[in-house]
Amino acid sequence: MIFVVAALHCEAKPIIDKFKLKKKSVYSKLELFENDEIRLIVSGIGKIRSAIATTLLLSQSKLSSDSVVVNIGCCGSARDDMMIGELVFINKITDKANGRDYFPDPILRHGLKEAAMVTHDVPVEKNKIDQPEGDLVDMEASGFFQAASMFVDHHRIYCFKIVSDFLELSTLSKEFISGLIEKKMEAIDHIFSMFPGLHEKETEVFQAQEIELLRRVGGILKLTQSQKHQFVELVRSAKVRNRNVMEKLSECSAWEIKSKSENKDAFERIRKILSQ
Amino acid sequence: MPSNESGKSLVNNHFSHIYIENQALDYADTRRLLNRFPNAVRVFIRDYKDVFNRPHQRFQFQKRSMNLILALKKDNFLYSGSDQAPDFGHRHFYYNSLIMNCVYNCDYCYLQGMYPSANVVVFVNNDDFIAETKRQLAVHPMYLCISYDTDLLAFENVVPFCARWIEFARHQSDLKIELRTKSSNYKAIAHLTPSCNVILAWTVSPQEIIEKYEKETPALARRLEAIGSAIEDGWNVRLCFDPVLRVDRWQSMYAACVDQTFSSIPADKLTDISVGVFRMNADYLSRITKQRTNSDILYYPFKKSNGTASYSPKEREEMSQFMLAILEKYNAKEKIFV
Ligand code: SF4
Repeated sequence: MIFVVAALHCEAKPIIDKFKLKKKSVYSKLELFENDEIRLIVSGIGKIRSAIATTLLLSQSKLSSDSVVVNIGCCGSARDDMMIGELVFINKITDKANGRDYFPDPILRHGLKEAAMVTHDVPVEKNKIDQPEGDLVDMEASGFFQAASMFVDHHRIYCFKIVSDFLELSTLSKEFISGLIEKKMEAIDHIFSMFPGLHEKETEVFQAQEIELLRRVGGILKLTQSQKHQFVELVRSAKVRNRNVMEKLSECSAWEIKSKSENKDAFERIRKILSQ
Repeated sequence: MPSNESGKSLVNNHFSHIYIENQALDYADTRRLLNRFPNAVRVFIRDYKDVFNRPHQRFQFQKRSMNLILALKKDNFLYSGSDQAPDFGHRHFYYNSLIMNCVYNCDYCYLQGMYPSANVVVFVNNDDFIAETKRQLAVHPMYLCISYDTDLLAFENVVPFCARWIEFARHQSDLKIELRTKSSNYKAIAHLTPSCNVILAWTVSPQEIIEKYEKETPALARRLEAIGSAIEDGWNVRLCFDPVLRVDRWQSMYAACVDQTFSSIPADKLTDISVGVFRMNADYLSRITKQRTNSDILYYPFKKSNGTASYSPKEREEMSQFMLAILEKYNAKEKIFV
């Protein structure tokens, strides 16, 4: 699943429309939209709000090894060679207030321009800006990234920004912002379509019926808590080594254990079988 | 390499990005590397640890598209040799870390458990490493491994650290350096005059092991060609059958490998041979197995003792004796370090 965090409704709208996301009335203060593959939350402006919304979105969702978390929105540029409407992959995020840097892994072959982003607490003006750390300016990315990294590994956190201004501090209309994102929806769609191939679901070592078998054998052998832990690790190792482990375990489920000493013997037998 | 339906790769090429410490910018090796990868995206950083030591990284994911980090090493220019590595009877055994991480990706590599990141850190202040080594040499002789947490020769076309250290060692009577490699890139140093202060040490593994567990590394035949050329040119050459892995049919694999090796390498011209059964710091192994379940050799029911995971003492003994026996067919016992 792709989890998207956008600051403003007008930034989210083209994504909502493109992927036909349906509004869910879950939270009174934050808008949430979703379909089977994408969940999007509108955070509001600022890094704290972005962190709160990201946390809410990810803590209330079922995450798996193929979950990807994406921040999409507009930003200002301190660099003149950027174009208004340019979609940019952010490879470094600096929190201006505390000076900390965050680094999304640049592994995906996205084909976009890249830049470093500086997240400010208040809107900044071109003439007054002093930020050697990066070229782009926003108010959310550092909060988003910190919150997302509490839930998923760094390589599954992305930040894409569209340049909307050169820090002139003029008010941009909602239509203008939506229009910028709208124009980049094809590129965003293409990037989203790459995620499942890159972030494949990690195959679980045990299937559901195997977990059931482990539980059954663990119960029959009357394993202690620490033995259970060792037992699972032994089975996991043997399974990765292709040692037909489940067949062997099925045989053990016929054992009868009556006493503590029998339990010890049985555990040692199991250990031997699984270590072959 | 993952690709989309039209077969295009989903990941960037290796070294598509170069992280550069601000203070490393003005170094000749930085300029060399930036020229070598002119299209790489440059990301400026304060300290390499900000990128390299980040929590929540995925080593094997980053291995699909490794990036470069150019940094200055500020301390620890020399480390005392680890207990896991053979010291060949040298009292003052050291290693250094000119590069952290490796372009290869062996399943059994401890770097996956030791480092949080698979990105390759190159320290561009090589002169400081040399200066510290000189200072130490003024105190006592040294045996120094320069390709320890990496494969330096595999990286020689990118930064010529091997050539630099060979030239340095040539003029230090109290220094012996070991350059350990799986690379077949001997031609990168073939122009140098051999030095008696340098040992070129090649890891030799059965071809089946190379294909399955030493990903991206040259085939056995190519390694043997490189070894043959180095011997012919007059270098000191060590063969390392290390790590020996207890896979199915390990005896026949290693016996065939030893036969193939000595059918092309003149045993009498070798400096020595080192044999080591697989062992790894137990914490590293546990970190690796938490991240990956796609390599059966890491899931062997190892025994742990003194913080090291390896085969049982009985198995280790059996493997060492077996290797000794097959190597003694071609070599004098005194030349083989087990
Ligand atoms: S060649 Fe050595 S350092 Fe490189 S991956 Fe293999 S074991 Fe690790």
